[in-house]
Amino acid sequence: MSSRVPMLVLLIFFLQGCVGGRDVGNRYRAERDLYRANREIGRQRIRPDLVSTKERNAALDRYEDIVNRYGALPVLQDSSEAARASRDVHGIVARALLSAAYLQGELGDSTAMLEKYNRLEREFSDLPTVSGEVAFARGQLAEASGDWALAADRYQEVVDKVRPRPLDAGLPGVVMSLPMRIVSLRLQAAGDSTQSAPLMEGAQRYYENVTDTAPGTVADADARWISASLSRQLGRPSEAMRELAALDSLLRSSDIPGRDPARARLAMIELSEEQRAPQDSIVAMGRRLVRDYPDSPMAPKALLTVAMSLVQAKRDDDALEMLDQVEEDYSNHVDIAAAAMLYRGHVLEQDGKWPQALTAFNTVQASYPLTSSALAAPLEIAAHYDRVGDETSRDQALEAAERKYRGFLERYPNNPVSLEARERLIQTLAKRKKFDDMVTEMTGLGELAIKSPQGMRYMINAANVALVQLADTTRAAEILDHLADEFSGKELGHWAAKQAQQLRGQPER
Amino acid sequence: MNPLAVFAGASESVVPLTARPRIWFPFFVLAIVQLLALALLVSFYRPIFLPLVLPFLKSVGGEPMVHYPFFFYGLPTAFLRTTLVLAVVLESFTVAVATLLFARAFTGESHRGAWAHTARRYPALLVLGLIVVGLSYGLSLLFGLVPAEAFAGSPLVRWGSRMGMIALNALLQTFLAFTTAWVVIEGYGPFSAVRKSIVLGLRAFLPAFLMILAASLLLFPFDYLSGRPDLIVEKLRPETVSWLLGLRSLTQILIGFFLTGGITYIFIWKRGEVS
Repeated sequence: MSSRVPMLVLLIFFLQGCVGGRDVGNRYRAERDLYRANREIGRQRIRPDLVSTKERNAALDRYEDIVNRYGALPVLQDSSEAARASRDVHGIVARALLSAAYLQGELGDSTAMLEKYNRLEREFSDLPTVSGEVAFARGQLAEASGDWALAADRYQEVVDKVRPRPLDAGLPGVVMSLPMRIVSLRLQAAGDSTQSAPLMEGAQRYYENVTDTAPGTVADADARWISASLSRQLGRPSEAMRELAALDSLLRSSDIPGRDPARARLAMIELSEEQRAPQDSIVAMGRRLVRDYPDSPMAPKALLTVAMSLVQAKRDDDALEMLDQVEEDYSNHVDIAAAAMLYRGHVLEQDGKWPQALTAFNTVQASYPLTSSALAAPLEIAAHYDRVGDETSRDQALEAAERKYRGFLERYPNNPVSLEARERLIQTLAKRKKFDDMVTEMTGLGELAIKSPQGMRYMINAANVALVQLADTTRAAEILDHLADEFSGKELGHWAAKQAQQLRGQPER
Repeated sequence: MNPLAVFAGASESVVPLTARPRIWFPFFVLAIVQLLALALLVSFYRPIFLPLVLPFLKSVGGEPMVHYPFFFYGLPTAFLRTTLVLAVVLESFTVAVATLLFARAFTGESHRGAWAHTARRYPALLVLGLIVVGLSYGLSLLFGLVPAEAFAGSPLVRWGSRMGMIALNALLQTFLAFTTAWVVIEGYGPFSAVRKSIVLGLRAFLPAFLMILAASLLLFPFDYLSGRPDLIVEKLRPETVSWLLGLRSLTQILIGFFLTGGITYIFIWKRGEVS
């Protein structure tokens, strides 16, 4: 009998372990299933064009399996390990359901997607990040359908529920930017820009709260940065300066990853310049920034800002000296060196030294061809001839500019600055009054990113140029039809269709 | 006799014995037990195994060890600790059986009673196992003396310290290689066996050292990869870590067979000089 007692104790311990450990085991299995589903989706996202609908549905099934398999398990509320595991499983089910909803949205099944969002709101309201994700998704849907007020309400829910963590890849990583987005949406909804100050003040209160609740963190640094920018927009430069000084001191004293301490200093220089602070003090601030952070990309920018400020103060020789220093010290930062050379051209032109200025504009094109400054130079040359009233040279310069931009685009169709080259080409064509080519280029550029605000703008402008400059209603209507097709069912689509219809009703001029 | 001639002699004598399943058997027993232990670790989440494995896993890697895929980051360490225990309680025994079987095969004696004979020497083998594993573990701690920054920053330091550790371990094993034979064939106690083994290790240093070094180098790819579970988990399926550890155990059957055969061959050839 006595030998059976230890065996019985062992058996009880074992059975207890089996029951208590079941939740730990379930959590491990659920984590594994979610990991595999996420990995499959990650694989599919590498080359989405090679993924069949069947494969996408299979990925969706994986998430739904997780929801079905673990969704019915009880969620324990005590502080035991089993209870913690059961709550983790609850969170995993929510994530799987959320991923399934996203996937269904991508597959175009918005009904199923909304059903899943409803279920998430019903069953997982205890998980702030998950309900924040749902609110964010609903906000995006509202924004896409043009319901600005609803979108702002939804984003506000996110801001209220999810603490910002700027370095996170998920929702907590975007929360910090939402209050500003809410301001812009509320203004759009109200259609009244006089409301901007109280809305911006509201956003600023949020950022001040972040600073108070998470001192010394990336969130604190980012909140101070945005808050300073808001103060600047609200016309409160001294407040902005105070925020920037606090940010500078924070970034210097603590090791905050991914945030350049020199950024705050540069903003302080820009602000001082705006406020017409004494030139010597601005120059000193610029030199201090370069001394303290010589390797920061902000250092040459600071010198450029100071040089511009010196030009405004009619200290052109000092400005040119500073630009020389930038070119010499930062010759390996092509964008900066090119900007310095372009600006040198401006200063020399203003000083009436056109031959030297022309050399600078030509050198920037030859030495740094793949930069924004090099692309700006040909039009700068034409603008000079325009200013001095030399029409022949102006036309020659514009012809040369068009040739250069077309040559550039032929040679570098996919360079990061190619888009800018196309924009410059459109500007050149407008100046040369080659409106037919201009419409072709604008529609081409609009097509590239038709869903973006910029793309839409190019299409509308192209239709406008076709109508006003070419008096070609058919072409304008065709462009608007295309816009209507792309945005069918949306406000912009209705507007474009209506405009096209009206144009067709008019006789061609 | 030069080391190459010893190699050739060992090969000539060991290769024909590969046809004797009886000699393979102890290595299979060890591998099967190791694979069962591995299966137990990777199936820890099943309710029936949880009470047994969970505390051990948490002692190895804390809370992350019971989460997927972090479990696989700690699996090599957990498995290494399990195999260290098995090395003391089981491997010391199975290698002793194999040593005796090889010795009898080389001298033309019958294999009968080898398991029972070894079982009688088990207490001595257990002590010996503790000494060998303890010394190996102590030696591995030297690896921690390499400054972390130098290890991370210089490939030369990294590979130099890895290869240095393999060579040092092979050196230690060379002097301890004959302990099992002294215990199971000659009937010595564990401490006398260590003394005798060191003397024999000095006399037959080069062939024994080269054999052990070759075996270590053959296992190195497995050890290297299982030491980088982060790479495997990120680039491949996390489960690859467990497959790799399983494959190492299976490879060890082959390496263990030839190494034990070779060491026993040297022992039979040189023991007279030491006795």
